[in-house]
Amino acid sequence: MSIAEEPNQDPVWAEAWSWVMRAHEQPGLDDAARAALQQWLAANPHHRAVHADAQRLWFAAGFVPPAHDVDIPGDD
Amino acid sequence: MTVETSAQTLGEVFIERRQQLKAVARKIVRSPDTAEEVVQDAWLRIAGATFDREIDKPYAYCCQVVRNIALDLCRRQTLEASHRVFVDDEDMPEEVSVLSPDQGIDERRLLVALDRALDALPARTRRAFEMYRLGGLTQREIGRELDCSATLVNFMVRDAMTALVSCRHLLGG
Repeated sequence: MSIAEEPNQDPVWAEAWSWVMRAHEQPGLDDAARAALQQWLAANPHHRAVHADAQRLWFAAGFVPPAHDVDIPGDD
Repeated sequence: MTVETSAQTLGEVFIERRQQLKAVARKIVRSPDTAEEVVQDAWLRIAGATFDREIDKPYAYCCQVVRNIALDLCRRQTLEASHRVFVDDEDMPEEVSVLSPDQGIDERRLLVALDRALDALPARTRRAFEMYRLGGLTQREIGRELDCSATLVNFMVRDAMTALVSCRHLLGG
């Protein structure tokens, strides 16, 4: 199995998901984080492609109805 | 009395509570015009939504959709702004993260596949992911709720994200 089929083992996916999580926890990030992200994205086109896919999967997952009883902000 | 499909119920709830949903969007995007765009985008998705299971809380799901679109819009705006500052290179491709609502069928296939991928996870892992992704809780808060460490929550969230990658081939261009 190639590394690309083992996303857990793939450092680029791991890094991309870390950025997705950081942006989720701190929308907009801070200046230093934004610069670090841009640097990482610019370092290799593969980084940019994986990050874009991770972000799109993350976005799409936000439309999947929850299977558990989760409090959605705004639903007061 | 007829049994309504969940799509009708969702649509009716959306129309009835449109102003509230717009307020949810406006809290995130600030500008009323942008909030209106978010609500319109959300409406296209809700109106075209079909699910193979009941949506237990239609209004909560409408909020989920509105929040998701609004948060993604904010995220892209700041990323694009910082991109322009960081690299002065017009040739760089803009990040295309929006799945446009008129991709219709493909997006429905993707959502079904994502739902299945998440369902293959242990129930607690999926729950932790939903609290994080949809509920906006921190990993520490989720740990308290599930009576486990924030570190374990982090692993569970990452497991869920890895499960999402199995649907990558459905993203399309």
